[in-house]
Amino acid sequence: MARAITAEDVVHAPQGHGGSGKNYLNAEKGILSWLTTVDHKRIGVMYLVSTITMFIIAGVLALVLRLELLHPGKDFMGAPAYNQVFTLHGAMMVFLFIIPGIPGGLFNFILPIMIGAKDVAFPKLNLLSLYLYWAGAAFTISAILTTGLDTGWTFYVPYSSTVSPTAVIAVTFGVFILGFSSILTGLNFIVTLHKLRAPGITWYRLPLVLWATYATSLIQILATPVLAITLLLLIFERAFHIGIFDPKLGGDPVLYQHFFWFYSHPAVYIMILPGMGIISDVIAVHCHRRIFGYKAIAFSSVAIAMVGFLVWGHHMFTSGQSRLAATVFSFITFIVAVPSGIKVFNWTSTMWGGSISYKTPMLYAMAFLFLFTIGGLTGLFLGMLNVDLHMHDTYFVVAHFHYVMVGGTVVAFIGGMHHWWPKITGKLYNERWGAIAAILVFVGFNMTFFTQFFLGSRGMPRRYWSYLDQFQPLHAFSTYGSWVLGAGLFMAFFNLMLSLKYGEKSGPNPWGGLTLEWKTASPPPTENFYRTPVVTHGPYEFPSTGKAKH
Amino acid sequence: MSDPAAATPPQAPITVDSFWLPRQGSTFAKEVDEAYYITLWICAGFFIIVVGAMIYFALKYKRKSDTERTSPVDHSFRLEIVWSIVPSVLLVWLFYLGVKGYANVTTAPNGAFEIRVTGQMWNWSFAYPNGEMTDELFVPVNRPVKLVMTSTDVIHAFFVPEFRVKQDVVPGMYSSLWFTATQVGDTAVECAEYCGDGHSLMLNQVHVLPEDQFKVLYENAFEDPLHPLSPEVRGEKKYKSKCAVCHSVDGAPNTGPTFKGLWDRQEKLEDGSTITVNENYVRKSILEPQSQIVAGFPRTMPVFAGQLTERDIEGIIAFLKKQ
Repeated sequence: MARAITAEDVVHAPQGHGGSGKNYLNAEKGILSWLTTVDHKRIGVMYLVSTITMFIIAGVLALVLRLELLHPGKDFMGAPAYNQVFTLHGAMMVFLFIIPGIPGGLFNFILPIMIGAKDVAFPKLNLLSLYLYWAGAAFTISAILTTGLDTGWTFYVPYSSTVSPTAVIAVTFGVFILGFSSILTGLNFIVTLHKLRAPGITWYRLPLVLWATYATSLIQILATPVLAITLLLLIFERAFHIGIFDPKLGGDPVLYQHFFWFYSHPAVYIMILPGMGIISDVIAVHCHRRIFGYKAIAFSSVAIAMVGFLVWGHHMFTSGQSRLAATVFSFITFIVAVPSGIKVFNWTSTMWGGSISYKTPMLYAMAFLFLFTIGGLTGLFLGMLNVDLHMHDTYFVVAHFHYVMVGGTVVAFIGGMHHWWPKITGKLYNERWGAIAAILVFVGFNMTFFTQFFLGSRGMPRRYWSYLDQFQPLHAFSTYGSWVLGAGLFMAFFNLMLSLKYGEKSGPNPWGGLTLEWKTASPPPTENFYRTPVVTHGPYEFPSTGKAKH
Repeated sequence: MSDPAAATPPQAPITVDSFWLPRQGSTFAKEVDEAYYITLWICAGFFIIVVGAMIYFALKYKRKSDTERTSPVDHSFRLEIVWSIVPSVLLVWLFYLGVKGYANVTTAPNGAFEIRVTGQMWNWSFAYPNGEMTDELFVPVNRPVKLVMTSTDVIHAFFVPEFRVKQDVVPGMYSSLWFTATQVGDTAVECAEYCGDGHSLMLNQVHVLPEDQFKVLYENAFEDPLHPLSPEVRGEKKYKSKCAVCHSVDGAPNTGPTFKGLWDRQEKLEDGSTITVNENYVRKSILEPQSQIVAGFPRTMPVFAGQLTERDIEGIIAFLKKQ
């Protein structure tokens, strides 16, 4: 008879009685055991190592960009080099870190455990996703080593299709492959969530992070094929001059922008929804409190995923699209702000009457609330048609999306890494250094990017290697901020790395969480649980001072 | 007045007279700025509510023991309604403000003074109804001006921060924008759509002139009739606006051959033949550059036919002879 799981079941599961007596890290040895594994935890760890490596490279490129922008004109690299560096920074961050990082890395690791499953639905497909990611990354990186890429991560035609002297085809083919990795991961997660939930885990007992995973996966499956088609067309255009985008051959360059943003706006939600999911769980667990507005948060994820498909035209208000189209896109853009607002209000309310710890993951969660609120609100300026005519393609936009992507997603990712680190590695990191790093990241981030709101509203366009002299002081301040931010991120990274060697051993449940991943050992055994757990309560039913009203 | 065409002033700055935004240089600016500040205050309000509540809760409900019990309240239908409806109403208002302003910006009045604008890597050309062409934009103050724009190569965007206008300039089609400048003086034009190596150097300026001064210049090919330019000075002006991004005059390597010592030089072309740089070679290279590319250089020189007058080309030749 099935019964609710206890930690003893897992830790002491005897060998030969369903338990291996080992954890997933030491169950098998050797590099080949990793490369051929189908264990979602090992695949997740390999994803984490790969994507974080990409994050570090792309982050260093960002520091290089900020350094060059210290003064107008040439500091140490010319415009061609600068353009290649900002392109690689953007393309690597988007395609090699943010999109695959949280789903492929963190969610791969926790999703099956959170629903009491042994693995994802298609473990071999999961490994194929990782191999496709590596292949796509290899193509992209080959471009760095050969001729570079200077089109910006958006590959706008006709610059990319006819003018750019760089490796457009290699990189876009790499991104094309990465798209399949993304689609397979999304498919795997959706099937897993439908078919492999342990007894008792109804949809409304899923941790909110998994609702966000589900919404993200939907977009990955539905939007990524459009990117694949667009990139293939671009490759054909560049290689064979088929004339679909090139006006000299009767093509339409604005059509490319429609295709591109039809994927890439939903992709913005592929990037932020996982962060929102992480924050929902981190706040509830570190406040030891029932999440406020479970269904509102869950359904707003789905609403964002759906409405997010209908707003792509707001990237094109100055492109010459029809006035009617611009008006409709502006309206839908304002609509999509509502579910994001609902989430923020519910997270804040979850802190009300809680028991709030100041542990590192919670510090990142609070930083997320602060930064994502700014990121979301500044989007309103850009959704307003006439204000956007002034702000479009300026540093205001750069600041806005960095507040969402870095202040939102990356901060949530780092918070999530600290939150689940003891589970993944079985080690506790140093709280004091973790907290100092979090504060440095928060301060440095605001110095770097809040400055860019003024730069943009005062008329500084983006993707500029040089600029009008009058912007120098603000650019310099932003560059100083990037050093603080970089120091914070490296400190967080080294703190986690050092814990592998020097960290204390973690118990199964260092934060007092209630979801299933905290019931198994840290690190978990290969099969996650000794026997299939039965869940009898919601994910956040912490001991309360009274009875909840339903 | 001094001759604005003879001077080669440093790039006009963007005059910024408030913390957030540039000076209001056109009739649109007031409306855009009002919409901007309304949004700013609404955002500030929500930010203070959210972050204020977060900080208050973080201090008040700081964990005292690990066994503390917490609030059982896990939803409030009434609150969900409030924080869905109130923002929605405000958002519809902002949407309305944006659309109202947008309708004005995209509807040029009849009889606006029409100027054709050509963007190319990496400069702008302006052609006026009387057939004259300039490298920098001259407009009369307090009169509606409509720009009809296209590009000869990739997508650019015409952006005048003080006017609060921006419009992509797309090859293969015409796009337009209009404005009525309200402040006499010079202000910066920037390219806002990434267009390659010279993107950030594709700067330009608008000269907003009183109506009578504009009329004098307009009728005299944008040169001071009392002090006509020598061909060499005119050529130097054209060099700075059209050629300098790719051709140095000090021998420094760049996208194209340096102009230093170029005149009468023997150049080897990519087809192996050799020519002497003379009047005909320079003229042909300006009008049909792809026909005679110097060996070792990329085929990136844009075509300037239709953007330089014969008088401009004579000026460039005069300027070249002195290098």
